[in-house]
Amino acid sequence: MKSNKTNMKYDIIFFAVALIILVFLFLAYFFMTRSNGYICEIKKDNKIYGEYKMDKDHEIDIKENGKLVNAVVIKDHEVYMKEADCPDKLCEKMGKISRVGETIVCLPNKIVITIKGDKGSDSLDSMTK
Amino acid sequence: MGVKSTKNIGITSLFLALALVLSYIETLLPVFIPIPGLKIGLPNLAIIIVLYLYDFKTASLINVMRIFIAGFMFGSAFSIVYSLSGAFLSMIIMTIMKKTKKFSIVTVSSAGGIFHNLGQIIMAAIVMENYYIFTYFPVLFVGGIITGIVIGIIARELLPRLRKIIGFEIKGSE
Repeated sequence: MKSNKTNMKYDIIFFAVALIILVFLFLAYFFMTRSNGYICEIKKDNKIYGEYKMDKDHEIDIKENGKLVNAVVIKDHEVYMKEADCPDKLCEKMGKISRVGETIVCLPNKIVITIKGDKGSDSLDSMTK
Repeated sequence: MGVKSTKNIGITSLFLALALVLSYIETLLPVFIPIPGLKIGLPNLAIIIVLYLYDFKTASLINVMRIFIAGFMFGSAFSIVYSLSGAFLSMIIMTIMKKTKKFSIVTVSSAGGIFHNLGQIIMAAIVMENYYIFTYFPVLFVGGIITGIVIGIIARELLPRLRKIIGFEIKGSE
């Protein structure tokens, strides 16, 4: 029993530290994605596919070798993935994004949609680059 | 244990088969939270059991084979790259924590879950050259802890029973 108790001590320390890290992670997340975005950037295969202003409604078809792979929709200041040809359809389920730093990722098609602020207030960008 | 005797080859392939079946079951499960890379990590159950029954070398061998075979059967080339980096980071952390002998298997397993997700997201950020993906990390962190605890509890219950069975078989075959 005694050895069990000392074992538990380190486990509790581990989970306490994990909890503290978690709180900081969520705080960082909320501070970074506070402001509303202005520009929606779509990257495909690490190259910028296009940048679109979010105050206008768009429907962007991303094609690969003439075949439609993803369809992105910008509507009412929100961006979402309308269609994807990948098997898991995770990006469709990710829902709508609108704030700076929020992303929709389609891993199989290597597409990343990122919301950006206007250049002066891009807080996450200046921190990570 | 290195892969030398017939018995070891048998046990290694048995656990590889188990890990592959668990990989397959995982593809059948519905996705509850749409975050890339968030999975239950069922194959990790086989890996952590091997890590406790044998050693890091055997566990890595099984894990690498598992990732390649499962990647080609149910995933893509990129899922192999993500899984490899996550698997190695988590296995190294789990081995170190296990060697200190200060943590329970449940804690070791949840640390493995966290670092698997961390390894994956680092690799995804490198491959996609996009650091915004780290905004998913808080959710992946929670996911790693929870799935790690579940896997850890199952492993804790299975280990003593498996030790009995495998020990008995080894005695009987000699």
